[in-house]
Amino acid sequence: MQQREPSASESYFWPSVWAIVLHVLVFGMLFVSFAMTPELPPAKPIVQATLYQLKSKSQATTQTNQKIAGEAKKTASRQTEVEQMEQKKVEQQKQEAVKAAEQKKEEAAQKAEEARETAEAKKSEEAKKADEAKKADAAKKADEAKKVEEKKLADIAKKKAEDEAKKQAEEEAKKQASDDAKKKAAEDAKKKAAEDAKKAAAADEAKKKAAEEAKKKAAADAAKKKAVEAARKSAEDKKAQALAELLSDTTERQQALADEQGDQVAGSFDDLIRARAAEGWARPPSARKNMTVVLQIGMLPDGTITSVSVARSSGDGPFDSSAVAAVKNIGRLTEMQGLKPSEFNPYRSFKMTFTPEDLAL
Amino acid sequence: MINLLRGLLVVLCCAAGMAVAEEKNILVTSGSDRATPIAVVPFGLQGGSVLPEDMADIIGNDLRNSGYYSPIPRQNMIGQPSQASEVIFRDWKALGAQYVMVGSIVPSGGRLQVQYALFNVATEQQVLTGSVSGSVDQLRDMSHYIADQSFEKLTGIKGAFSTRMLYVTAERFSTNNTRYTLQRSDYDGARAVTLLQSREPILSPRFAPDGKRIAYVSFEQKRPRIFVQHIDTGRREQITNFEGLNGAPAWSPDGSRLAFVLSKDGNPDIYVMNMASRQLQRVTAGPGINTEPFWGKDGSTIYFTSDRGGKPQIYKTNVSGGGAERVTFVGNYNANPKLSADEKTLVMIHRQQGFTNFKVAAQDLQRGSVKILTETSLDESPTVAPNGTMLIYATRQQGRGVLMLVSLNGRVRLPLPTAQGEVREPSWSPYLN
Repeated sequence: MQQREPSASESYFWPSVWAIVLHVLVFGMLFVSFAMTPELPPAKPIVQATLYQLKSKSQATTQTNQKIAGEAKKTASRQTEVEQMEQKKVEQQKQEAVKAAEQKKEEAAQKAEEARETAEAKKSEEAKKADEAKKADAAKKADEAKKVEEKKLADIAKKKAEDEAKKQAEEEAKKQASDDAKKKAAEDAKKKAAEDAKKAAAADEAKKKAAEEAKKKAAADAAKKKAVEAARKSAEDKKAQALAELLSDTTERQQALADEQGDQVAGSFDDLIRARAAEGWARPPSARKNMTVVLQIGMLPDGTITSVSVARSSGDGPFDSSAVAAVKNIGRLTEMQGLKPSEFNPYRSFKMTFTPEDLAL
Repeated sequence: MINLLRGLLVVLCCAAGMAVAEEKNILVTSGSDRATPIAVVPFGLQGGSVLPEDMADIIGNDLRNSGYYSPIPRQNMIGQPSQASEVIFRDWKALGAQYVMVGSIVPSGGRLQVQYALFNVATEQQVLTGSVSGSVDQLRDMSHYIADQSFEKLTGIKGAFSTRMLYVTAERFSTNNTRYTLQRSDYDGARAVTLLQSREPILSPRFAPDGKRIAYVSFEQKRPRIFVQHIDTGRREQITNFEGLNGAPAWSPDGSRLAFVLSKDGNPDIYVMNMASRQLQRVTAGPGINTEPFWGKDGSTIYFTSDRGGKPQIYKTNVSGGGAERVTFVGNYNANPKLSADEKTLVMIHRQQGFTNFKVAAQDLQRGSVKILTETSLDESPTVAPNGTMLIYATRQQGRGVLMLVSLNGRVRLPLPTAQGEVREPSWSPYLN
């Protein structure tokens, strides 16, 4: 018995040390990512986006809160993309990547637990693969971000940036608002829920992506997997509950978002062009309420207005000229550069109708 | 599998729908309430002595007076380029300027050669460039010319900054000693020249359409009589000597006839005289006062003020007779009709229902809607610029008669610098070039 005692104490010693170290590590991760969030790009582009979006809101009669939320996210993601390309330093990029990886670990942990509970092994594997794909995205993005100046805005980068930026924009906004770790935990869960819902919605895409990306990054992820396993053991029931609560709600929102996004994007750019033209439209004394001139406008994808001509005259020369000048004075709409080629197509050649309703005479 | 096919079908339908979809049409229903910012950079002077007039300042003021543009103050300008090549668009963009004008003055052989260029800051393109030359005395003329060119290029409306105006001043020295003068100045009140001086009142000066003759009412014979005077030679001719009131002359658009008011047959009524044959034709008749004739540009319609309905309102009639048609219905007092050159807008002295103030108002002739243009009261004698963008009227400020300029869009309201004493009866010239 006496000979056994040391071995017994030993058998308790190392596991407890490991447990403590792990807890400290997990807690530390939480803390590190928390301290980093304020360094992320400020909300300026988001505010700008909100401005246009409000106008679009006033015009769209059937718009709901869900759509507004979806629109904000979409626009924010576009803005964030631009910000990331132009402004973020390489270090910030690195930190983001690290942070993203950490978050992924936690997500993965939750995911795994959920999978165990639901006992759907296949789904769990898919989810893991998808997570790995995301991780791969993050890592790859970090690499690419270092080469920002090369302006490598290929389609892959764009798609990735959009997915990532969307999530990040949401996270950042939420995190900045939260004060304590408890809230943050809830936010993480929420975010995860959002991802889950999205994955569910786009299951096919996720599968394909996962299959491709997982193969590439299998080796590199070995170490991360270990951490995932450990983190899974220490995952809290609370998070799982929060996740469950939020899951249904967020799914609905995501679906609504997916439905409405297309229209919303177009609407906001119409509003932008409308606002810029109205800003510079100085009407002559001969202008009258409901006088109408239709202009034909040509635009390049970089936002340069290449041609403005009168398609249907009002019959009043100075009135026609005032509308033409208003469009010419817009100069270049750099915001148009945020549109995908397919989204920009309607703006290559379009019409604008000027008909004042705000005149006294 | 069936679901997949269905999905495919939906996607295909959407794609097809987009392909045949109508072209995008963006509707704009509101415009800017503020004047467009323009930077008129002080013109560079290459050698020679300091000039008596600041061209850029005059051009900036002209553009401001139109109500379309607001010149950017000089102290805000980051640089002061005088050549096209020196313009840094980024700087002007930062200032919020939509347009920037630069120019340079080169003296040569007693004359000044002025080069100027106008740029759109947003598109970074040259909108206008040109040159003009003249003597030092013509600095204002050259400035107004450049402002005219720029305004027309930017708005499609012919500039009216090279036009002139007539007005009457009264300087009262004692009870029986008042000096009346008839003045002609630039439209902005600068460079006034005395055309006539009298110890008796002068009223209603009007430019003939040729810009070379003027008609006015003078009391020099103790009674109001209408005279026509050639501006260049000073030669004058008495047109009317009828019993009673002789007043309110108005030239027909072709300058061949003069409409005015006579009370020889009882009430004041409107008559038209053929200037060649001196033949007189009565236009209005009936009860009440009919006065202040103004010709439509067709040369056959006359707008006038009448109190035949009880209160003064504006009517129109045909010169060759026929009934009069009431034009104004808003407000309990409308008088002194003037039309914009496009005849879309009627400008008049207007009193709102329930108010005691007389203000200048504009009425849309098609719809009848009325907009008050001035913030002063006791307004008189509105006169519209030939391009219809600005008007000048007489009013009282601190007990003194002054002239005010307002843009028809209501953005600019400023007093015009004029001589001592009472100033009244302004009248805008036609285009003189």
